[in-house]
Amino acid sequence: MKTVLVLLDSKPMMFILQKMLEDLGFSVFVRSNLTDAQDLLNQDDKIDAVLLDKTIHAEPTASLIQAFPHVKFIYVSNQTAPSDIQTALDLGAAEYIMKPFDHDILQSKLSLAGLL
Amino acid sequence: MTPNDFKFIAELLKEQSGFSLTPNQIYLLESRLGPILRQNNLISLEDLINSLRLNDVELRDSVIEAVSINNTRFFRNKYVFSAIESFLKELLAEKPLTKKIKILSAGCASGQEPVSIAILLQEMNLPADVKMDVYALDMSKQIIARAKKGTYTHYEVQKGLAIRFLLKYFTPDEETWKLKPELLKTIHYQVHNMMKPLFEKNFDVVLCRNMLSYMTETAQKTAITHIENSLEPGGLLIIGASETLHDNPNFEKIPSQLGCYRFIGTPTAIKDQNTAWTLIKKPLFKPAVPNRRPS
Repeated sequence: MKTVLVLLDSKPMMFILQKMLEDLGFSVFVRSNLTDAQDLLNQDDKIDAVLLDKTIHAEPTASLIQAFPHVKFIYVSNQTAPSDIQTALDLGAAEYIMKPFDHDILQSKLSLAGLL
Repeated sequence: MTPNDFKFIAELLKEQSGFSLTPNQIYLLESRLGPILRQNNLISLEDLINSLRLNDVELRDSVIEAVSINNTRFFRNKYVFSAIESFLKELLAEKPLTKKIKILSAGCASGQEPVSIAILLQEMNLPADVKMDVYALDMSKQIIARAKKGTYTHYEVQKGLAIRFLLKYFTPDEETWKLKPELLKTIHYQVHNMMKPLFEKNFDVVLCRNMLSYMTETAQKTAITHIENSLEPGGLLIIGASETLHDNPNFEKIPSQLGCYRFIGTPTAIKDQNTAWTLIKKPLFKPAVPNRRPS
């Protein structure tokens, strides 16, 4: 079973994603700030992917992505301009989910990132 | 949408087209019905369902087409695209470069399959003197008109298409994404019913996936004969993993590649071109005849 960390500061979205990921067979952790997420990643080397919101964590996540090269980072964002997506890819994001999204999109993106 | 509304539409689809909706597709249904509300000046889904209950046949057909025909996605079944890539590499090693390579997507719906092929060809970085043509056909005029525009919704471009391909080959256009014209112009779309002979010959690769399983056995055989008559000897035919060629001796199954067959026969004239295209009223994704998967 693969493990995913959901790093979002919106509680409703965090719980929706947690439920959708569990339905897909993932083991899920949730954290609402970067420091707690970093602590978890340091403690648990079994985390395969992080789903995070680009808008909130744009700057500090660059160092997070670089620090954990074996982890796939997938952005979940309202920002859909090509320049915003390109920035995320340049930072090292494996995939990018544009909101709103559905179960099928989440499944497809996880598959594209090699997690399914 | 209330559970009763969902049930009503699901039953309507099943009865009219054999399409089977599961409760977790409620979101998909709502997103597909949005444009129909706008086109018909309906204010809410409730209005739409009331009109359907009053037996508005035109509206019913729009709903069926919106939900059932677009059942496609980019790079559907990744193994299919790996199979095409391997086949083309093998072919290019043998074939004189003066000849064009022709690929057909039969039953292309809104174009995600031929667009995926066009992207694959770009990504293969083929020598400039290799000429490739992608042909795509569907029996629905409406869907071909849509495919020709190369415009896809926010939802469609997130299904099967890697984000780097979205950035590389599409541009945002208000709430949709548009395929770049230089790629769109490489795809030749045409309205065509597979009960009639194909309009082009000498295809190196034909994809005819998840179409045969909607058809009667006789109609399937007619469609396969038309494909045979348009395939190059040694050409590749790809059908759905759960579909069958009914032991047609002119095709050889490629081991360990689901639904992939090599044409080993010679084109023969079709005997009966008048077989009607018939929908089988049963759920999708079940083959008309069970197929044995390779072990």
